[in-house]
Amino acid sequence: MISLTTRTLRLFYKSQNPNFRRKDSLFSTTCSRFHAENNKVLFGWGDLGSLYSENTINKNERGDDIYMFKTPKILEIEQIVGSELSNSIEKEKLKVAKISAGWGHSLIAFKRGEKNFVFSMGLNNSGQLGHGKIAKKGYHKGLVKGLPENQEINMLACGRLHSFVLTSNNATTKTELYGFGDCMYGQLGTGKDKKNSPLPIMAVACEPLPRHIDTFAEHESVKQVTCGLDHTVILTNENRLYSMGWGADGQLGLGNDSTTDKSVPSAITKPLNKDGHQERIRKIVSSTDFTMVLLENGTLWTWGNSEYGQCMSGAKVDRILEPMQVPTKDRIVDVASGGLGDSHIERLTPARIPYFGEKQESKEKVGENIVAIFCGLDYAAAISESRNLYTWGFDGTLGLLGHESYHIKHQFIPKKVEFPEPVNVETLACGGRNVLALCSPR
Amino acid sequence: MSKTRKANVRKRLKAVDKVIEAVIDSGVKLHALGVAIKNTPKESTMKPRDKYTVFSRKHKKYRKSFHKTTTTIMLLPRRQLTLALLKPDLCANPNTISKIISRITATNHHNNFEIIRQREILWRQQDAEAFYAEHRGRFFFERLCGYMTSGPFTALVLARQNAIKEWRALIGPTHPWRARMNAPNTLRSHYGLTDTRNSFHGSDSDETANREIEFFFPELNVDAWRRQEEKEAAI
Repeated sequence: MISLTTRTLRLFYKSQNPNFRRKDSLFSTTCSRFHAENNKVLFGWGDLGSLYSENTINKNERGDDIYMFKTPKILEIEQIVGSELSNSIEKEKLKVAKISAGWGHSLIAFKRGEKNFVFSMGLNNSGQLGHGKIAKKGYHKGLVKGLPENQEINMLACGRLHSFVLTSNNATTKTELYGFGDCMYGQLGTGKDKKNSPLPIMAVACEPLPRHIDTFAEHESVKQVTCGLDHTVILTNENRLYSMGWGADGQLGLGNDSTTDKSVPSAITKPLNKDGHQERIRKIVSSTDFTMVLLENGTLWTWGNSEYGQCMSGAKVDRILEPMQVPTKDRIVDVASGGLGDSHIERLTPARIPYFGEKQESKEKVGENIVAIFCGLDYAAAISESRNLYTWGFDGTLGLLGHESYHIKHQFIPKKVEFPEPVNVETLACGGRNVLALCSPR
Repeated sequence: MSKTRKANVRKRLKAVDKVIEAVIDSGVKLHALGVAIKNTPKESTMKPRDKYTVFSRKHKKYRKSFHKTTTTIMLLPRRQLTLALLKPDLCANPNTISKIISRITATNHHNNFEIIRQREILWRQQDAEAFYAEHRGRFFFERLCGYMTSGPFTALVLARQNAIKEWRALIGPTHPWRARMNAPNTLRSHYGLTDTRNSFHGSDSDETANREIEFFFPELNVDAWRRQEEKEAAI
């Protein structure tokens, strides 16, 4: 019955459009595409469960279930937003503003006129989707509830099982930080952690609805937020750093005698400069158990787990408990952190990307200047000046490199990712199980 | 049986006893020696019926030799128990848990584990410290306990021939990145996250397996299970 209908539709469509090729999916040609209205295309690859809900899992030609995309695929608005939004919001004016990917979930910020929405999809076992409920099984999707619609979304950050949304009010320029998801280590900064979770029942300490995090001084508001797997680092407009969550590996950078978990934002007191005065901080990045801070003067500071030498201290140490400067001669312009290594680019022509990590070192020229770099758990990516995407690293079982390779074809030199249509890659979100890329048509 | 033949049989049996005693005296520790002490009766304690039977299939009152029946039991490959943990980072994704369980119970040469017991557990700090008491004071103790208390995890008792070794082979090297490089078909290569969050645990010897099974499943009587296995093997 279904196949008959599809076939009839296809025949009908063919009679209307002589250029229609059978290979084209009927639905992707008839559905309104994302970029048609707002000039932005959202691509995704990796595990399908964290890209959309399980019930949209596709079948290939042989009828087997596809559970991952090995190459970039366009994420259709119909598939992402689903029926929940299509009725209430006019699709034409929806615009993707920000993207972020965690270990098994992703957040996408949409904008429609003055209103802002955050859409989440993937695992929801700790309420990391912010739907107000916890789901033990399967993948889910929907809007994050309880966020102020009239506030601009500045930043999204996803950890392993927790998420942050940073919003700002244009009138007051005061930002507000909302956190939801798992807080067993206290990584949400709400004061809740495993010590005060109800036991012995199998209850995990979590916040299924966004909670406003406000334990800062009166005029202090959050400027940047970044999540490691189980910790969070916050940069405020007063140029102060706060951290919370798991601290056993020194992830919090609170000093030599502190490796305990913190469930409220705790200030990192050590000044990030040798002469004692605090230099302006440009960027903070974290994605696993260590954090890197890039200052305006081009120096790099780091702390946390350093088992693979990812803190680049020159020696192999297990953990660094307080911020330490990375000894480099070059001026660093951008930094991204991953699991087994990290990348930083320097202002050199042609740009080179040293990829540090134990037994993994690649110093390959992409051949053109690099404008942005990103890191996942054990893979990394760079966007070149001509807006091409290059990826390298371990090829996991989920095809995260986007090279149509699978499982054991590790890529130790940067390789260009082929997109199904010519696009300019603008930004990337490297998750543990999926990758999102926001592009504009070329 | 004639007197001379009976005397010869006694002589041979005594010679066997003498050899066993000599080996015991030498102080050598052998698995086979333990079996011999346990299963081989001495000549002086044997009944005439056992001593003077002719174990020939052509004989009229043929019966299977006592030694033969015991050796058959001994040679049958016995199943072993091991304790496996699917750690909290794995249990955060219930979809992978079902995939892993169907993989380890798959009836093929490499897997084929039987799940004897399965339980979901959420630890408090003191539970983790008690379980990892032997590691107290090591640099990874704190992070190991923090990791294991970060969410519910699944404990499994697995049975298979050579279960301890086979399970450790299936989960692969301790470091997930090493597994991805060198052993891409192991479980850690597929699902491991970081060194600390290495996702799987397996007992390393029979004694630890017993202790760990006792810790998670106090109601499971390992000795009774082994006796039952031997009984089934004998049948």
